[in-house]
Amino acid sequence: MLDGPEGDTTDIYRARGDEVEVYRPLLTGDVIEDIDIPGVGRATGMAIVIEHPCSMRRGSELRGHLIVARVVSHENLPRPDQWPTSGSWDFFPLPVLDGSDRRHAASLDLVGRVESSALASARRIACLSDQGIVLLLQRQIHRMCRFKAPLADLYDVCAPVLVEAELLTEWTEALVPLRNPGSDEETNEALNQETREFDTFLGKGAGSLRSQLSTDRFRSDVRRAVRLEIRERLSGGPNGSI
Amino acid sequence: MKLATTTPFPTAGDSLTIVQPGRVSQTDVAALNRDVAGLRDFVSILDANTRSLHGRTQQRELDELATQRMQEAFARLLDELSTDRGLAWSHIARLVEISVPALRKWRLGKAPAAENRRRVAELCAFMDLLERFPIDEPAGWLEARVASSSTLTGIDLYLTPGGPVALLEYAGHHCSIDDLLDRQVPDWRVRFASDPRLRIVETEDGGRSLVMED
Repeated sequence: MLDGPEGDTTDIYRARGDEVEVYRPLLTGDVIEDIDIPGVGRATGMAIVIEHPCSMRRGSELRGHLIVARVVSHENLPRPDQWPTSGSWDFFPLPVLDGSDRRHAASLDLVGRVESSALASARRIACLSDQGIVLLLQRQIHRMCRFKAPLADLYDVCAPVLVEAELLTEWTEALVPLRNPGSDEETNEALNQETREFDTFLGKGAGSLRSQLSTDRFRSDVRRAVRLEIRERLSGGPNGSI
Repeated sequence: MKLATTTPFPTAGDSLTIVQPGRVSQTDVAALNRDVAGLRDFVSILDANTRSLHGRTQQRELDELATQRMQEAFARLLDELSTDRGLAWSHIARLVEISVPALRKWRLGKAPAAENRRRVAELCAFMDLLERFPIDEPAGWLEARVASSSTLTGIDLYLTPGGPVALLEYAGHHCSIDDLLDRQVPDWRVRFASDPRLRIVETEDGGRSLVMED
């Protein structure tokens, strides 16, 4: 009934554990440790961001609160090699989430609003791939409306945001170290500064690079422009900000 | 190739006699019709054979170009695909069938296995060949849906068996989009047909929404 991953069930992940890119902006499908969800039990635990990618930010700033779901573990959840496409509407499987034998899933009825600053500062243990994100969105929509939204169309809606997030990760990974931050506080400040620099670069002018992200055929142009800009800034060229 | 017809087919050196309408008997017309039908069969078989031959020569050219590209520095190949071509890292990972973290390790200098190095060189060679055709932006072309009737993208088709050659054939206008899809994903009309009622609209908050129209 609902769709599943194209290949292996773990293809829903972009990265897990130590593979998670530290500078990747907080995004739909991020699984975060030690989060207290008001109204969802008393204990802290793992949570997954289920907010739509297009609704998480105002400009480059995260909204004050984001919607998350509790990640639960139970032996009756599907085996890691299985992906239920019918029934189990309240669960989104998270196979082999932490490398242990325990079975995990996002419980889509254990949902609450959490301060985004708490999510941004906690440890992220997994990020979903683009495929994983649209599968999560499809399952949520079906749970709420009993409507199976096509994955390709769900992707097309949020593709500009997903592409921008990938480019922002490249930008900050390359340019934050150039600011030589020492402490965590300095690193966060450098990260915020580079996020703003990226936001300005992408939003310049009427036919801005950001507006070009809306058209799939122009996205490669935008990536090229961003990567050339990163290269120029790394070499201390005329647009170097440091 | 021998065909069951009553008259031999013309060769390049022969000249065809044009039969004037109204000056031929019923028997002549029947014979002419048989000959033309036979000629049509012959052309059809010839077309199938040349298509198959072209597929093999195209594959050969792709292989040889990939072998040449293998000689170049691996970091240079990755840089070409990302900075020169503008492909997303996640798309490069998918096209060469590795994970994003594995690709990330290559970017940081870890050497790839020979098989993966070959796949990256093949992708570079494919992009080189794609550029020969009148396609403005090969990376954008791959990323977009191949037709409004299907949700499949060029990347999806690249990953099908024989996908790179099939895409080059389509890019060179040697087959229609339906031929390409029917050959590469025979059940695409069931699994990957697009819903023409769905449309993306820009919203007041600067975002996008999916709407269904009659």
